[in-house]
Amino acid sequence: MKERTKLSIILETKNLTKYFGGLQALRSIDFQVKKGEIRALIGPNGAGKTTFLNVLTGLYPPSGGDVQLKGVSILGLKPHSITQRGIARTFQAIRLFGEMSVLENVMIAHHCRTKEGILSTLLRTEASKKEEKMIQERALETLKAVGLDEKKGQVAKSLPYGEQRLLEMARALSTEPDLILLDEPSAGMNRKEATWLMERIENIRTQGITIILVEHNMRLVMNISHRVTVLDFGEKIAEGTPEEIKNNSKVIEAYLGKKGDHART
Amino acid sequence: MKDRMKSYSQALWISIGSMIILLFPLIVSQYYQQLGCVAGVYAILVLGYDFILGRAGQFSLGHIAFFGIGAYTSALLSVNWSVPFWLALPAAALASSLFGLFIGVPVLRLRGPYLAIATLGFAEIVRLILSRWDRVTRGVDGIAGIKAPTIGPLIFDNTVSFYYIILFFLVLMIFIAERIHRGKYGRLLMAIRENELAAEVMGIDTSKGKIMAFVLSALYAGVAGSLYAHLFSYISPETFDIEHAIVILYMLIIGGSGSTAGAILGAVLLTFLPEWLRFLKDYYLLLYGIGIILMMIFMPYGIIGLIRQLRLQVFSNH
Amino acid sequence: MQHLGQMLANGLAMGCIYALVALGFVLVYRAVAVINFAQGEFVMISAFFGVMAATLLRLPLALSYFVVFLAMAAFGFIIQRLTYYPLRGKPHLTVVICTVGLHIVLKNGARLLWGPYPLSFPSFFRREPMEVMGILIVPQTLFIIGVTGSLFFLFYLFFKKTMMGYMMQATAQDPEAARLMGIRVDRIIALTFVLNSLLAGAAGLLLGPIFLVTTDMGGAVLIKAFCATIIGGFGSVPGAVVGGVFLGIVEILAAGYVSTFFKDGLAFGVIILILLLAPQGIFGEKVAERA
Repeated sequence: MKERTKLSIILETKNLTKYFGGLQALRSIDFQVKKGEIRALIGPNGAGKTTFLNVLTGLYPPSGGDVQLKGVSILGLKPHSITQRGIARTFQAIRLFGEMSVLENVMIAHHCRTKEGILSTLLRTEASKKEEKMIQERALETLKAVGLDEKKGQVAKSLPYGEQRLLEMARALSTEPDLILLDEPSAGMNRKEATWLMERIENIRTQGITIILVEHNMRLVMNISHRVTVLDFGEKIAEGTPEEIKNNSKVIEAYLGKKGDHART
Repeated sequence: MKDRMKSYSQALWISIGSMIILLFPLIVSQYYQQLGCVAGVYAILVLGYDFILGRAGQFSLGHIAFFGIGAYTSALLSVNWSVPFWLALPAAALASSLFGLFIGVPVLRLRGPYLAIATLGFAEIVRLILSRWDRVTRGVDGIAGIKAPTIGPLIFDNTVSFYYIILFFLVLMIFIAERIHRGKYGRLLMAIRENELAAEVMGIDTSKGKIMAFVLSALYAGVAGSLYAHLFSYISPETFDIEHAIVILYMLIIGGSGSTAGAILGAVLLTFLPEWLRFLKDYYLLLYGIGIILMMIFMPYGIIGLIRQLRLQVFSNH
Repeated sequence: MQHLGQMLANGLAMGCIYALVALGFVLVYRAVAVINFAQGEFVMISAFFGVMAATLLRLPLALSYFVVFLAMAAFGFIIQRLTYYPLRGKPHLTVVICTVGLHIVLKNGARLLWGPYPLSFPSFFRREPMEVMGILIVPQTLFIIGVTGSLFFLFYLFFKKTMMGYMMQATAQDPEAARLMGIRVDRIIALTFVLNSLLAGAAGLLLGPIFLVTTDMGGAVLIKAFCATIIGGFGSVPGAVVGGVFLGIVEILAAGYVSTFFKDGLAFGVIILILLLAPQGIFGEKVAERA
């Protein structure tokens, strides 16, 4: 029984700490996400949310503590290995492969699930040809699912902003992750688009993928998350259901106590 | 109907082009035959350079060093131990590739300007070793008497015959390059160039990708080096100095980096151009430099880049 | 002890000159994130200007220096306007290749103007060494140390204590933010290039009398600038100065104690070693991915 409980926690950090020189960005964060959950990570600007994501995905090594994916420590692994193990992420600022086509952007994401090497590509072995075909077909399916298949040949940077964001998500999902980290996916979206985003996120969850969502849009957070974790000054100051968090005095203080910060509802 | 016409006209152009290339040495003077050979060698060299600079987007300035390593490996094998060309060339390619691996692993961790400086430093050190390690490399005197390739009783020691050997290797290397670029690995390199961080996060081992691009570029340079050595039957360290490193950089940039056609065009153009501009004498280099500056201002993607841009505009108007 | 002292003094002098070149180099890099491959040529051109001022115009020391400084300021401004300005905002590789082109243009342009033969820079000082603190030093060496020291001090005052210096720092850190605060970024960048030209110019004037002035001298100077900035930490202003001095001293010591044979390759070797082992140098920014 203990085994099963352990397995249902897909991501866990223990005492996670990160210093940048003298600045402490993350303080002893203990964090657990259950499989299939939608967990929101909120906090005022500068709270350390993106730093947290960066440490989770291996972009920065932590100064202390541990990160475990599916019960196994991923400390010290390079980002691409972490992705191969099942964590995908999107970025706050769009990081598409600008000059490459929409289709190619998604095809890249499939690489980590394939195994043919450069030699077999060179020799055009049956296996490599089949693999290439499969990559292309899967990528096309993904594009169809998000409605971008008409634009598959277009250069990625020529897409309108909203579609670029969509492509970025589609690309991340193509790595076939167990857990996806979305970094402010609703940035720049209007109300209608944000609603549509909510549906997309819920859709991802129904595919069995766990989601960690870093967001400023409180309406989105309250509507869609199962649980919310709040960071401030690199520390976890609250965790609970959206209702609990909404009424948590520490959280309110953290947001309102900061100059020039707005919590949108 | 339009498509069929398009492929007919394409086939026609390819046929004409191929005929010109094949018959070239038979219709020009010996001097131009040799230029053609040099152009072919540099085409292979720049094609290799494209892997690391054009496709993977890594600013390496050390490519010329691998050219030198390949040339000297082949030369020494031929002169010291009478190793035949057909063995010396793969050995040279292997030697260059190994150096590419050893240098690439530490150096490719560096970003932009640091990579440029480190690889430049590497190239200079290789040249210094080639110039000073007299016992092995014969120093500034260079190595003479490199043997020509033979197939059975046939000796390829005149320019025309050597032209066809170079052409053979050029076609082979183009074939390999295109296969790679059109497949999975080519896509991977482009992703690294476009956004290395995103590529890494998408599950691509960017370190391995960059190193492989570097090794490939070194392999091509090794092949080119060996061909160069056997073509001229004499090599010296001057051919592998920073001035020449700049020339091959220009070949790739002017032709258009990130494109096979661009690499070859740049190599051929910048091999023949100096000859045609001979009349400028001392002003040649000056105008060359001005040309580069103007090019960066008006045509930074090279000739092929310009053609592509024009094509896009033409098509979007229809 | 005498011998060592002399070497240190000479090394210090050379190092100060390297530091001047490296300082200008770093300022340009910080302002526009571009490696100026033509840096060595600025030094070279200044040396030639100096020769002309002293021999053709027969001006006395102070006046020639002044005239050359004016010329270099104008030169730096014009070059910047013609090459960097049209390319602002373009990708780095494009601009860097442009500076490589500039390197070729300046080197060969100089060759056409002044010919391939080395010229000698008249020395304004006596050749006999003086004795300072028990060490025999040629007056020229003292002069170099004195001048560069003053220049560094002036530069420090300018950079840290004047409004313009602040604007330069702000622009280097964040051009967008600087623009929003009303700083005329384009002008600041032009100023940076002019400043670079002056610093390189000073180096050229100081180098001139030590070596013969040739159109080829730019290449070696560039390598020293690279090396100095990397030792000190690329992108670090104090680092460039420290790196330059360090390089100057190490070079002389290596030549004296080991062999002059390796002096050429030393700078390169140091560059590579540092880049591989401690790429951030002494003060610098993070330069490589974690291994």
